[in-house]
Amino acid sequence: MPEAILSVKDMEKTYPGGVHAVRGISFDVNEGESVAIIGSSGSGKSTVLRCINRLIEPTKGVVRLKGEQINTPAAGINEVRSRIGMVFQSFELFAHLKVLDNITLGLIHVRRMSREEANEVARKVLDRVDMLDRIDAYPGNLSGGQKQRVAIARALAMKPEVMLFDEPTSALDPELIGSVLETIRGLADEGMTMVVVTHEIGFARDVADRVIYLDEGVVAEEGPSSIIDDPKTERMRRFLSSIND
Amino acid sequence: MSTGTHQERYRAVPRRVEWVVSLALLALILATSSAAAQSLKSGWAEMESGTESDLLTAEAHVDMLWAFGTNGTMLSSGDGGVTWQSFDSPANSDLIASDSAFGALAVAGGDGTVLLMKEGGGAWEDVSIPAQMDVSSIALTSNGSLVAVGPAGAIWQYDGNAWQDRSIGVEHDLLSVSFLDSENGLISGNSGTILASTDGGVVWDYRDAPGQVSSKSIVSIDYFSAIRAYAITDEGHILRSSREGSVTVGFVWSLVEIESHGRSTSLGVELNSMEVLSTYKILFTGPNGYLSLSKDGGNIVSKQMLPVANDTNFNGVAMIDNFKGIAVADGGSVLWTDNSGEEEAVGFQIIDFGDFGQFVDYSKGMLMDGLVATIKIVLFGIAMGFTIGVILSMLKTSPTTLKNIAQSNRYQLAIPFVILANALSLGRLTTNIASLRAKSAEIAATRPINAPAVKLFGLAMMLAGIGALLLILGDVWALNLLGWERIYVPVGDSGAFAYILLGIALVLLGLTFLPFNGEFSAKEVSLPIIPPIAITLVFVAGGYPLSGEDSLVDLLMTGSEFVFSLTILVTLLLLASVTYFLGRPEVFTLIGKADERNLALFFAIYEGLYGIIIFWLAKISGTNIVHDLDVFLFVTATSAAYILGAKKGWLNGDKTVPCTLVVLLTLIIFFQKIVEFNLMRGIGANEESALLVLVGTASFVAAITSGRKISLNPWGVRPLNSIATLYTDFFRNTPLIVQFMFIHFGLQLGKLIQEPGLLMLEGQDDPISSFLRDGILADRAYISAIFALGLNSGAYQCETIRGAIAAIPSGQMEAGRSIGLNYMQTMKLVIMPQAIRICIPPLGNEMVNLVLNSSLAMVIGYAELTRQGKLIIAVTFQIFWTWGMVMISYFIVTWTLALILRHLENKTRIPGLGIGGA
Repeated sequence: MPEAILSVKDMEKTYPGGVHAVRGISFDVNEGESVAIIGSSGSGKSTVLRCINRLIEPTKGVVRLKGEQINTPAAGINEVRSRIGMVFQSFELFAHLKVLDNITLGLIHVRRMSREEANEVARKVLDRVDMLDRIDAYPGNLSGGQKQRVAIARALAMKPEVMLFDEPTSALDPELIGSVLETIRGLADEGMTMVVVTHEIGFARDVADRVIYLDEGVVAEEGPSSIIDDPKTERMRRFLSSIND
Repeated sequence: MSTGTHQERYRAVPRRVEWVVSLALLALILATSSAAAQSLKSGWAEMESGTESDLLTAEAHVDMLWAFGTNGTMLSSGDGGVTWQSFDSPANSDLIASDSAFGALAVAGGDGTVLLMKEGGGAWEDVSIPAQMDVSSIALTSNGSLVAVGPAGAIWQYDGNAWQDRSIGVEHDLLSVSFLDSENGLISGNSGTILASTDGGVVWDYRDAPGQVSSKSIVSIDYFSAIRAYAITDEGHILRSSREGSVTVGFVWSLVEIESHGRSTSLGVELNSMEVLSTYKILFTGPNGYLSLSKDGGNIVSKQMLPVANDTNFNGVAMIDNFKGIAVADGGSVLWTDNSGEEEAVGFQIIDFGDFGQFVDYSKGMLMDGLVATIKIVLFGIAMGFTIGVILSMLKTSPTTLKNIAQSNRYQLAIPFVILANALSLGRLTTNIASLRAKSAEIAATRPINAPAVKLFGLAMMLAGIGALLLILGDVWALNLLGWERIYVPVGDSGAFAYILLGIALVLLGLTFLPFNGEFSAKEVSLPIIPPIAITLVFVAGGYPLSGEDSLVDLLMTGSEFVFSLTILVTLLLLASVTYFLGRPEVFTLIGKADERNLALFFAIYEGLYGIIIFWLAKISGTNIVHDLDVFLFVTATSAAYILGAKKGWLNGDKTVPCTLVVLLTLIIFFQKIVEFNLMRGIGANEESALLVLVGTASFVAAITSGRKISLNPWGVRPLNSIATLYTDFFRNTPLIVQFMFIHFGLQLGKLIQEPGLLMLEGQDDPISSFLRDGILADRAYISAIFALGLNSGAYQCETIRGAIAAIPSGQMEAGRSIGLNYMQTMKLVIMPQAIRICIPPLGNEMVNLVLNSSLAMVIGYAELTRQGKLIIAVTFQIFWTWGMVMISYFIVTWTLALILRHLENKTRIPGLGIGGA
């Protein structure tokens, strides 16, 4: 069995103040796999995702990227993060920079490319998300869907080994969700390893290879995306039916 | 949408309105020009001369004053210059020069005319020069001998009988001659010519004028005394020559640096004559209404107020004595003074300025200087404040905690030592730092922290801290302060204060490291632990006499009491460890339930133990037992109260009656120290017992609150934040005016920087060094003002910038870090560009404050705008006008600044961001 690109083992996170957000989660993500994490609010989905790239430090547990443990003080955190791409719910584009510069910032300062090389890469990746025509616009002048696509392009440009999506469509109007989901589906089809935390159950069923259902900080159910149509546990069944209503 | 429309759309007050308001203000000020005010009268009074011919020279002779002018005009006055009579003049040419000495009076002018009035005589003797040259200047060398000079280097000497040509071939026009006595004289002329004679004018030699005036016309020279000679150029330079050792006057000339004119070597006006009244007192005249007086040899030259129109051409001054005399001018104008022309305050009278125009003319120079000075410190203040603000805000938002340092960066703490070791070699320094960083990362990766080592380190730090405290307390006690006066210790002995802080820091750090067990978790601590430690420290630090006269500290310091000292140290350690153990729940299981009552009981016992030890210490130090018995009694009493309270459940509740009683008693004792209320003295208490009752009560309070747990997180301390907070707390909690005075007069920062700075820059002439030396380091007050303003503003700007940084959503930092940028890069590339835009309006506010606060620099004697205003008022008494003009000046400066900032805000507006964005 090929070694998993991303491996999370016994992750726990307790916030100071006593909230046990994550109480022991383990899962693997293999190369080319897209994993969808679903669950109700407060189940720890975003926490898990943020613990993977150490935006939040897990209280316990081991996170491995391509076999190496990354949540130790020893691991070069910046270098690790540049290998993991992250797309946020609130897009978090750099508002003071044009779309082009948003993409090239990481390339120039982290990958140490020259400006010309960076521009080249930026163009390619913007073309891929179909945002090349707005390359000189400021984020403030873009719609939500456009912003999220630029955010995806920004993460893609760094050529990450795995991409994390934290509820990418939750802040979008229904009309705009489609374009973003299209883009993500395209990435999955091309074989990008990704973990997507999402409320779009339909998307999880159609695009994801595996689905993990979190409930109160533990993995309540896990399996191929078919479990959405045929949940094995009562909890998941209740969750899905509550959404569908 | 174009950005151009932003300005028009979001202008709060329409442009038109702003203009109307400004004009109205201006009109208001100008309209009320002739307000009644305390005012000054000119020191000169216009006298009726009876002629309208230009008067070119004047002279005082015996008891008469003479004025001479064009076409042989001669006037004389016998009453000191008040009334004038025309004298029948034997001359027809213009009378240009005159001299009075040895009892004789001589006058000379065009076509070689020279007239001499010997002493006593009332008639003029014609001794004109046959050569008929136009005489520029004349000097008497005795009752009947003269020297005259003229164009093209002409020097003629009259020995009483005939004129002799004494010229030495100088090409330039000679303009002035002056003799000290019969032998020594000086001549000055065009192109920096100075000549000297020591034999009454027969032989003349060259003298060197300062290089700066080697091409200027030295229009007047005065050999005043054996130790002083002065000369002036037509461009306003003042030259001075003094006797240097054995070198006589006239050899070494220097240009006076005129302080009142910004240390320039020139007054900046055309001068045509001067009158030296004393070694330091000089009157200067010039065309265009110029009359000025210096009372210190040219260092400060003050232009004088005139009662006549501004453009009267003054030609000469003649003084009877140091105060009384006349000035003569074109058009037959004669001005009289009995105060060397200085203005007199005349009490409540309508102003004598003539009009507002003349006042502005008089004061505008000083106001301009003040404005320039203000702008100079404001610019530096803004730059320094902004830089410090940015640095501090970065420090304050730094997430590096003690835990981070211990885990990942601990070897980087050696960096300061590396810097010291490699201070001279920059290349080696950078490589060493880089390798240290790499090693630190590698060690953080491979080797976990050695817990026992940390504990040992902690113990060592704690001991070092306690040691430092004990050692320095002798110094503190030597300051002779009592009780609350000790808040002034930082000023009384700054070194000792620093040591105390160091000691406390070491103890706290030691206490943090000591219980280290590999984890950096926050601790939950029961409150009773802290007061006893604090009390021990307070007690020791207070240095209150334990017994008799000597304090505990004093006893400690005595070398022969080594054993005693050791005993005390051991005791203190014992106490510290006892308090440490008290917090551990396992201890309580020994006596039953580990609940609050037992804790209180334990505490009472502990306090009794404390008292006993003190009693014992007092005993072995050989003092009066009875004297200390009441000490012991108090301690026992409070302990008993605890035990009682614990047993009855009075602690931890609302039933705090006995506690309140003791608290009240303690307060009374405590206040006794301050207000000398001697209740306790009446019942036999004294200082020590007062302190111990305080100790008891504090412990009591601790017992009351026992069981309360607080969560301490010493590993979460952010050292960089703390450093920045220290800085901002100091500067934001003291008034700016006091900071100015402290920095300039207290620390003498200006002097501290100026002296080494000038020393370093000596001899260097490149533009930067010259700018630093002449522009910045020249004035101590300037240096102090820049620093006071900059450092203070930095603290405020830090908070503004920090607020702006905090306004940036945390997602931006997350986004930056998730693409692999480190903290600093994210701050620099993502957060700060956005934060700066947010903080432009509040920073603009701060900068306007800076401009207005710059007026406080006045208190350190820096000649900025407000101080100039005060000076003008002191001289002219025009309070309304002056302050009005000062206000207008400030308004213009801050308004311009506000406009610039508004423009900046518009230029840096991010499209799509913020309210009102496109």
